[in-house]
Amino acid sequence: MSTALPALIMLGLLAANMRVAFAIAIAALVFFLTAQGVPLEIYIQRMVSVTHSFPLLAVPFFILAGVVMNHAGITRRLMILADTLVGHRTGGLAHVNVLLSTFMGGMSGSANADAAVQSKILVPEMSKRGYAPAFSAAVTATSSVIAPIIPPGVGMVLYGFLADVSIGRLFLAGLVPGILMCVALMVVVGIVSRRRGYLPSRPERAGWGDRGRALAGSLWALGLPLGIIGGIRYGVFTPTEAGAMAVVYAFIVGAFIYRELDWSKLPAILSEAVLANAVVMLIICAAQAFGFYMSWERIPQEAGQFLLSLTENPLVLLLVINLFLVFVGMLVEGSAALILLTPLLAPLAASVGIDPVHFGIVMVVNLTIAGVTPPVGTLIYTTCSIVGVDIGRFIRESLPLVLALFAVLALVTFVPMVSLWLPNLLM
Amino acid sequence: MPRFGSPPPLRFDTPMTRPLRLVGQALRNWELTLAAIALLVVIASVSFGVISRYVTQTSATWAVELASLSFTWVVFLGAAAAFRRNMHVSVDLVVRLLPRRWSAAVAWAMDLLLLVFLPYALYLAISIAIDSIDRPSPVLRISFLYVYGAVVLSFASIFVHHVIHMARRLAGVREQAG
Repeated sequence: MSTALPALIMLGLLAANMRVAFAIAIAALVFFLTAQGVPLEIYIQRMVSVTHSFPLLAVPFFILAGVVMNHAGITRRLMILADTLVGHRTGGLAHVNVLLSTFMGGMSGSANADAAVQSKILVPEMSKRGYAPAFSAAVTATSSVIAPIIPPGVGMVLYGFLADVSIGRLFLAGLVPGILMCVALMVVVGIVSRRRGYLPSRPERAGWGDRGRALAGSLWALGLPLGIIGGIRYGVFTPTEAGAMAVVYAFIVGAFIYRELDWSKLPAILSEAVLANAVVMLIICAAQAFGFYMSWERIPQEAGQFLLSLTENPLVLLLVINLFLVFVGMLVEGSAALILLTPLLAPLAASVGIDPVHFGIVMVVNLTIAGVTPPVGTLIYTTCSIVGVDIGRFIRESLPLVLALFAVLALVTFVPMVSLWLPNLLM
Repeated sequence: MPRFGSPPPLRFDTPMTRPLRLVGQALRNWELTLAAIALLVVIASVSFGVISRYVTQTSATWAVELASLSFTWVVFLGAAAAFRRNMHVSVDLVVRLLPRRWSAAVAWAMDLLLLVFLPYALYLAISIAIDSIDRPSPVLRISFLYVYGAVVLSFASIFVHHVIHMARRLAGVREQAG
């Protein structure tokens, strides 16, 4: 049998619009049916065994914590806080949009949930105040890229599991890049808003009293990421346990402190989290069976040797990998690409001396931005379908914002200290 | 549309019958219901594990195991529920570039491939489930039948809904042609 056959089948099926999880599962099955001396039972076993991995339990937890927070009225309180902080600037609501994503990043582990919520609550308000809907949608989608980079994030959990890297360190390493993305997007939003004369959302700068009250109202939400990071850092709990605690915490805050959660919301909350989790996890399960083929045929080693024969310079390699990931991210959904490519690229990066945490942040940031790079981008579809704008217009409006994100990606790629400074300081 | 002569649909909208309607909904969406219950079990057992570690100074290994076993149900039944709602991601870029006739042909080919793959995967899952009846989990001694059972139910549900989906498409094509 040709070594490359399963890989080619997978690429062919992906191109033919087969659902990603099944494309991978079928390609893996072809390997198990044709390879000599590989028992067929391992096929199903590999798919199931990944669901017994304790670190991966953090994926549904951090998805669920975000969903609960959204239903618990925390989003609205954070929005008021963001408004008192930046609402007085030209293009006030657009700034609020970016800052809100950054705050939400501390609870929500997924960009899609963030984009959906803000498209529903913030974009109608922006349209009322004269913002072009395509611009509002573009700001919403590009800023929601920040949410999974600010800890906790599902992408970090996936990379940490697949590359066997400390999830706690990855969480910490995302904080500075996330804040830089927030700043970069605000700069672009400010320029566009001044040029178009988008008005502030409040007549004057909010006083410190207002800011303090808004901060007090959302302290319960903002405290969560600190609790997670602190808890992991001081060994109180593992990232997975932190996820479970975050879910329980969100329920308690929503039900007893904000009093906006009741039992009738539970089915909707659980359903949303179960479905979002299953879509990612089924791809992981299939990829685990496919991974058996890759390691059996020593594909990561072969691919690595090929790439290393071209260059051994870490900077060149990072550049090449980034360009490759941007290209892949234009065509394939980000987390699917992350699941497939981490086992291939992480050992390669390690072999030329790139820090695995640094490389993880580069991959996760790159493939999260993939959500807003056309033609295939989940965040584009989510926001455009909720807001109801044309994708072509969206792309034109999002271009400067996406470029700002890429500028941060370049900085994160070539200045390792941007990501490594915080985890090295604290862990 | 109700067929001619069929009884009028029952209305379950009164406050009295609301619980009944919810139960009906939960049963119709049995994959989602089971996955959601399993998720609650996962959260409860992991949380219990953390709390008990600080109270009794020993880690509750059974809680970790229960969480892992339940997670299989969360993932696989959740995947079946997501399949019913057509939520699994795919890459439609290349297909959209093709002429309509071609893209329709590719779509049928993929549907047929799944129609072959799913029963075979189901068969593999059933045989491994049967083989593992006597294999208990390390701490709780739960038979692995209950682990692979989730995969069997999931693949069976996905297969049934795939057949329904294809039948609907076929009917749609007939209608267009007629």
